[in-house]
Amino acid sequence: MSRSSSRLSVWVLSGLTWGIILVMLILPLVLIFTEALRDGISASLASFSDPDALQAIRLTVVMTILSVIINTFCGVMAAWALSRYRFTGRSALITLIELPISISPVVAGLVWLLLFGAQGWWGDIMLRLGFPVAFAAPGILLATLFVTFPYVTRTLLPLMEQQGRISEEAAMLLGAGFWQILFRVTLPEARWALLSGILLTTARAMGEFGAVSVVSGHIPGMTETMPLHIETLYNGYQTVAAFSMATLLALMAMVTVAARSVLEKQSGQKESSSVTSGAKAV
Amino acid sequence: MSVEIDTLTRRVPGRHGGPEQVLLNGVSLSIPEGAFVALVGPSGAGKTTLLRAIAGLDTFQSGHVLVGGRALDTLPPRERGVGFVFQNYALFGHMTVAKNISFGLNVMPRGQRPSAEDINTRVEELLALIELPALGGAYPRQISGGQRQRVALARALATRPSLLLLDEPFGALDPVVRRRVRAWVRSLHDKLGLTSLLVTHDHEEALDVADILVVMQNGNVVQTGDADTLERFPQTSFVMDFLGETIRFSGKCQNINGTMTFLPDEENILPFPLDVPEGQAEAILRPWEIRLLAGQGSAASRVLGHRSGLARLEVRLSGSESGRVIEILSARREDETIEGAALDISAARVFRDDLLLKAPAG
Repeated sequence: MSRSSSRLSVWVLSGLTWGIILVMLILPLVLIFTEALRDGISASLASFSDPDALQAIRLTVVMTILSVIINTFCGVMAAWALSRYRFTGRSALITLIELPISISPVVAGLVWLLLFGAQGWWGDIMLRLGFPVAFAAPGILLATLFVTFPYVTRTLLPLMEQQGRISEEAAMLLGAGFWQILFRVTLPEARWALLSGILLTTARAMGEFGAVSVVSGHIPGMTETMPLHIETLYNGYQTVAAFSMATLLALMAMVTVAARSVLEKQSGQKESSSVTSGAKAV
Repeated sequence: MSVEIDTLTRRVPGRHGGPEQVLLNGVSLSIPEGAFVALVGPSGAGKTTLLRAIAGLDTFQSGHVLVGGRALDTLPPRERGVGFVFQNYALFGHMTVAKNISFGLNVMPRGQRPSAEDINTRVEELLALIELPALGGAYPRQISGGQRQRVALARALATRPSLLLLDEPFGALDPVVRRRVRAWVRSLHDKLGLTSLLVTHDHEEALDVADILVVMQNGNVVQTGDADTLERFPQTSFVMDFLGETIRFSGKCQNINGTMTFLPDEENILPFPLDVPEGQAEAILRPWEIRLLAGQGSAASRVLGHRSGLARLEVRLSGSESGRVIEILSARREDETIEGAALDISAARVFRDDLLLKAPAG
């Protein structure tokens, strides 16, 4: 009796979960795909030949690559410093690094505008130097960097804390220098966490709307990234083009998320197998 | 290479704003070339701190470290050329055994680095030396604790250091493997002509493997010497306690009929002549150094069991129920059924204020 009722509750719960996922996650994706293909695949593909669309894709790809490179470097250094040294203000620094996750991206965009806009503190100087930041690519990059800053550090830090310094000390005594230790010991030992952080950064950088929207000025063919371009197209009643672009963006995001979960699964298996074999060996 | 430690002092700020802690309190030590030295002492004595200071992993406020006559004080760890084996091996989990061993060679500057072929030959050589010739392709997680230990040693030896530092390297091994690995480490030390410094909290391990023992306590070196010297002439009662089981008898030294004599406070313990100034003293000896003399007193004994061929005897020192009960070891069968005995403790080392007054000759 109790067994059948518990089985029933499992069915109900998992059914409910699947129902929610179907309605909230899968249905919208299917809807985007069907809307994109409403006039046939050729119409959908043709929408990508528009120069504004191409520029949006190019800009998104370039911004994503740049932010991933810069934030991976900064994130690794931050995680390394935070896990290896105890200094005053360390916990405050950890909180600050997490700030972009909790702060609204629109606010982040406004900050950059305030600094580099025409009426901003440094906007005038940058403009006179021939290097406009607001309503230009550098502004978009800054906004994206700000929003995606925490991810590499947050995924690396717990692992590096747990690993401790001992491998690095061993490498040091064997004659390795700073960069040799970083690239041959520290990062390879944390490679799964690092990859996971990089992929999260990638997904977040591609999809960033709020901060970029504020700082970029929304100029079609110039400062519009893919998410901004989708909005422009949709507001201009170009439904097929908007949904085609949305499909592409969704696919790109799905690939990175899928890559991340595959890697996590692999590393999970690796860790657990190493733990059991280690226990056996001891 | 010889090692000189000259009044090394390391202090660290107390945790949570507590008082400053002195980890090394002006430690001086001289280790001749080719010696196998064990740093022993309870946890917190400063053994590992001293080892890490020699390796350059920990800094110190004052003093000097000289290896082979050269001051290492400001030399970064990577340039010291010492081999170091960590307590939990610290092997690189993402590298094969062969890559672990060759790490020290692979990170050499381009000019000094041996060719890939030479590195391979060296790895083969070391794998043969640690008697694991077939395991070059394995990952550390796939091999046993004893094997990891040997790989860690091979890795430390790859660059041919002449000074080998071992930080509790046998701690994680089971007792049988442990004995085998330490005998093997000792033979390796002799074969390669190394100077080795071993940190351990296990006195038996130290007595087994080392030529010279350095006993440390609270950041100080209490005594340095070979196993026999430390056993016969322990400078303080702590050294004696640390190196094995002890039984203590308090008493005083008095002039009796023109002979200075140690008079124990408890009954059934025989006084013995002792040429020291008058005053309170403490006689300390090992459980197997006490002899029972039948018919000379009222102490009673009974057999508790046996250990290493010796009988474990429980001895009640006085006839009354309130008397102290001690446990001794005896090789003599007749002690097992003894009645009305007195205890001969003349083999004791006698201490006053925890410092050695007198040890028996011979």
